[in-house]
Amino acid sequence: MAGFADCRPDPAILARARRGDMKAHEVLYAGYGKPVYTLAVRILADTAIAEEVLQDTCIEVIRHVAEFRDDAAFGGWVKRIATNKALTYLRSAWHRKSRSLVPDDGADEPAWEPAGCDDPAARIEDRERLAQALDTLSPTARAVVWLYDVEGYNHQEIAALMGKTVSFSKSRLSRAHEQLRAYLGPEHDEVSACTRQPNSC
Amino acid sequence: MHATTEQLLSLRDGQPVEAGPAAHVAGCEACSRELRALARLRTRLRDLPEMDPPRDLWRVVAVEAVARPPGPKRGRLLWVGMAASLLLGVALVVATTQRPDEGPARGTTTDLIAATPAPASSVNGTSRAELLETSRRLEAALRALPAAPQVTRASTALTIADLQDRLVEVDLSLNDPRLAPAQERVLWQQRVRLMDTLMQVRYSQLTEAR
Repeated sequence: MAGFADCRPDPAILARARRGDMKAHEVLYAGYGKPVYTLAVRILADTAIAEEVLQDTCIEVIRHVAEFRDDAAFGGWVKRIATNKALTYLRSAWHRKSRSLVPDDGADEPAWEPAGCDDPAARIEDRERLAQALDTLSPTARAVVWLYDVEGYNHQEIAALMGKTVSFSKSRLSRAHEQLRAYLGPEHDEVSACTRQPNSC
Repeated sequence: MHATTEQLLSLRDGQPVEAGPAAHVAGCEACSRELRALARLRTRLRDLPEMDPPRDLWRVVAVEAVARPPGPKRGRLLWVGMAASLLLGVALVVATTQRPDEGPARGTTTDLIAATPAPASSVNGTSRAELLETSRRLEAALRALPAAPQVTRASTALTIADLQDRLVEVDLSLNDPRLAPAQERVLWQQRVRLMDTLMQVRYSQLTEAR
């Protein structure tokens, strides 16, 4: 996944965007639209609200890019905006209510048998299964896992973003991993050969 | 005693862990397996593919950037400028999609757009009477637009609802008998701008449905 790290726009495009050039904003959007939408879908597990997060983020970028000076950190800046927007939706009473009907564990789901590395269809199925496993987590746990393990936030940052303590973030991450592994079931050793990648921590 | 998941995650991420649990994991096959599984799970989460937002979302964003008022620190100038730019864009689309020797077909959406009053950028300099007339004409044009399509993007519908709510607020304020003339004029300007934007969003909604 490319993500926000690859979101490094041409300074000339940023300069045009700062002057209010909507064509330049469209170019910027082509770079950050996908990572923002992905982050929002993964955290909120709701494509309609993820669209709203993306729109809110775009509008914030359009309004405030003129005040943002560090071109190299553009991707990180957009990620921070998107994260805040997604967490705002997560905290909203409406979202909490609508998600309260979603089961919080995968008790009724069959244990998952990961596929070998040679079968693309099975790999897609594995990914879908992992995405389903994420969806079974509570919204907060899902957000912590995604922000920590994928987006690279540390516990201090997550605690600050969520208005919670560092130990809250750590314990949610820990519990979320236990739940994910319980949902996914035992892994086979051969899977590690398919998926192992350099540690980017 | 085996390491907890929290301790294993700290080890995985190179964070400080007490010497006891760290030494235990190094010599315990079960904990080492757990540690490797946690690392694999993170890799697989990062491997999940990116998701594509709806293809036409940018157009909605551009309209919303105009429709939503900026924060209190920002002046109205930017908003008005963007509204004018968008209106100009719509006008260009209209101009380039029709033959020069023919006007828009009467009674069509294009005709209504073409017949709408002055763009928002000129609102500041107009008199109260002109504002009232512009407001009246915009209202008539909005009423004459075809009904909303059965399928509308949620974001477009929300934008329209938001604009309509704000129009109601302005109308309520206009009904206040204690209003000073200057305040009243500002409210009429706001009303015209809101209706102007609403017209553009409604137009966008109708073209989306085609």
